[in-house]
Amino acid sequence: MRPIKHLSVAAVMAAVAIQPIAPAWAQSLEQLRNLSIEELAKVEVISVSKTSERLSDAAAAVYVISHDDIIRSGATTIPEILRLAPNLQVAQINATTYAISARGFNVSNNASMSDKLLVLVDGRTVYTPLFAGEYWDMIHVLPEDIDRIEVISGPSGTLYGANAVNGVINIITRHSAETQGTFLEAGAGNREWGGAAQYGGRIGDKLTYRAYVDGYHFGPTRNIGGGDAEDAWSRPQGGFRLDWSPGNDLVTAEGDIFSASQEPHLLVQGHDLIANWQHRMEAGSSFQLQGYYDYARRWGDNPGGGFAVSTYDLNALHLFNLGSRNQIVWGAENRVISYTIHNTPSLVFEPAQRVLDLADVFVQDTISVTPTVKIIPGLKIESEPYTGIEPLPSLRVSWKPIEQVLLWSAVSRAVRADTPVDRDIIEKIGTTPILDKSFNFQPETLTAYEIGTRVQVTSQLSFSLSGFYNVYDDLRSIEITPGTVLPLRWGNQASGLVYGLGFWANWRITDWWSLGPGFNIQHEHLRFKPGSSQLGGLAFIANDPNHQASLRSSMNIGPVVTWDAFLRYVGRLHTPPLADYAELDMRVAWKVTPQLELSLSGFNFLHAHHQEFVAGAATAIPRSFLVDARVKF
Amino acid sequence: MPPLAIIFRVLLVPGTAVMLALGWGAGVAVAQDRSLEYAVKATYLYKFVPFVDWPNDMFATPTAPFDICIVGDSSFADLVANGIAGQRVEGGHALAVRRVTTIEQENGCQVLFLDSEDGAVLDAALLAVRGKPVLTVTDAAPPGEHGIVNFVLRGDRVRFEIDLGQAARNGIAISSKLLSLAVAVQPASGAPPR
Repeated sequence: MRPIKHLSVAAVMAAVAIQPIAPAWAQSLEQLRNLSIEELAKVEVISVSKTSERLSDAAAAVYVISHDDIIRSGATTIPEILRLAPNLQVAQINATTYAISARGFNVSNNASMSDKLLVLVDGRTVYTPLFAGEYWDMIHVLPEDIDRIEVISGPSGTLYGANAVNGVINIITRHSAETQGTFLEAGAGNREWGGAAQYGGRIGDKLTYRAYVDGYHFGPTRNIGGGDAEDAWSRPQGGFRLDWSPGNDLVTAEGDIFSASQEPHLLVQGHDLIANWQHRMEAGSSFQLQGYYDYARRWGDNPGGGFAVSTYDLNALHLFNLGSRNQIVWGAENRVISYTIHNTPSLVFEPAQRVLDLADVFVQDTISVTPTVKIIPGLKIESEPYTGIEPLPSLRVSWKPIEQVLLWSAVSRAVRADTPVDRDIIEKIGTTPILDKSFNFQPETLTAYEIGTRVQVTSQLSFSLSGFYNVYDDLRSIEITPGTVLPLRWGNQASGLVYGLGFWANWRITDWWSLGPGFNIQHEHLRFKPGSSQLGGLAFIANDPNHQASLRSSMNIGPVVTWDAFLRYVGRLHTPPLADYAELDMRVAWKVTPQLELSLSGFNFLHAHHQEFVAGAATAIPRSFLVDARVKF
Repeated sequence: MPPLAIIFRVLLVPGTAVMLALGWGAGVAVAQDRSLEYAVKATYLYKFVPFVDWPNDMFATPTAPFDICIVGDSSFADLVANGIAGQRVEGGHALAVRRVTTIEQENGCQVLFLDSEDGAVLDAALLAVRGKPVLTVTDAAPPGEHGIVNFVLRGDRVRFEIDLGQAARNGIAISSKLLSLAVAVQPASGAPPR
């Protein structure tokens, strides 16, 4: 008899998603019951939602943005898609730049300087190693090819390593078997226009592939004082994915190449190649080996500097059961980052070229103490490029008293490791160093205490509630030289507490209408340590809203029309201040034929212009609309 | 693609292994990964009914239930029971689910779902109901052990094959619409392959 362990109505219902009547994504028994037999034959049984079922038992605050959520949002860029995650703070700074963080510490200069988040695309890290932040205009995946985005708020350093301090954004692309055939998209609106073309094919019954090109042009935002901000930009990109599944193995190769420009101010280029081999062994054990190469180059005319970074990474992971109660995952990784910086007269990295080597080993054991209680200790030992060995331990506990309720709690330590910006940077006025190299900068550390629950109240309603109490130490500050004041150096003279709550729910009111509310409350109590110069004030460290709320509505109006609305409220910023705001995005789509979908999207309906963040480069974001056609055959 | 490879793929797409490690056992994950697949199969079982003609004298009494019998896990029977709750078939017979452990010739089942990988078990069960008006349904059964309907996975979807020879032997007719949805149709002996 084939085992169907843990198969229950609740397990199926746990996957209740936003799209009740879309046959391809039908989830629950009730939804299946309403399908015709032809529609039943089209239901993908291996789908996005399966993850959320697994996630329903994960002992962490995880929100999953599904493929359908992404398409139905109308968003065409990764940072705009990330607005859908209630556990992230997303602030657009100007046409290309965003400040994005989880659980606070959003800061910005001309680039997003939020440096406590880890972003991965199919296991490839895409934050820049130069300062551990993200250039969001360098991170793109064709929305049609995204399977899901897993957003973890809270630390996961034990598994992910040094930058997984406040959160992890895990972008996972679809298997090429799921993107077979031709896909064409074209869109145009008052602020952006562009399109995509993709073909997915098959060679034999074990090899599938796809290749795509896509490109968008984004119009300018407006200066705060009025006038064109001259930040219009374009981004063409192409790539492929290949999946080969002989026997118990799965081999995946994928690559992308892009070139984005903000004429004449900025040129951004990159390419990457990932190879991944997964091997399944008996008794639930599996092994994965992955290697990738990533090249990124950025060149600006103001102040005229640039950099090129090559990353080479090899990692292995082994999952196995030890006895009936222990499931062990362990692995190792080595990442070599080679970069060259083209310095400007006023901002110098010394040395301008370096090779950084980062290596780690980790092990985590999921111990089933009883059928309902799991204890999950884990430890990563990471060798950091500048500071040597860092231990990243965590202890998680989950308890599932009944099928519909999960309670979890965790204690973990994470670090934001030193980067070239912390160690090698010299800022000058003329020939006088204002900021000089810091030789004893230490990693910023976090000890996080978390507790949370996920509840399937009825087959129509589920929610997640999580609380955190984060203790930060050795946060980066600016310190003076005793006696002479100048030069300034980075120090670790700030610390603080951040605590708060995060909530989201999924309420399927009827077969055709779902609501997804979410909100965050958090309080930051940061302080300088005695003896700190306190230069720049706390605004230099973080500028976050205390409150944030959102409400998503998804309607299926008959079998061919969908209407989605997304309302968000972001509380005021304090240092420097910025008023709170609310904005509304909407999309109406009409499936004209099974192959053709037309849609009209509107973004930031409520204001002609609004500002989301305070930064030197911040501009006012205009209201916009987009008409889009998608064809699949 | 064999089901194992599909499950494996879902289990270990890049990044997901880490999610698993956040608090999951692989065995559980594999099992739960299949819940939608099984829910679809359970739904098929009663959706087939309008497309199949059973002999008119099949029911002993006008109030006898239309029985879908399950040889397999009780949770699968629960799925079917949940799906058919309150439904009736043509002629007013209420749909019912029965979990059976032994196959007898006169079991009163109209649909018989056999979830086993053991060829001998399948063989015996299929032989027991041969010539009886029973729609036998197997799940990815080995070649030669297929029921009238045999579920298969094609392109991540649950589809099925139909064996018209066995259907003819059991005296039931299958509508052309259902045949058109099948990924393969085994013709009754004598007829040319489709």
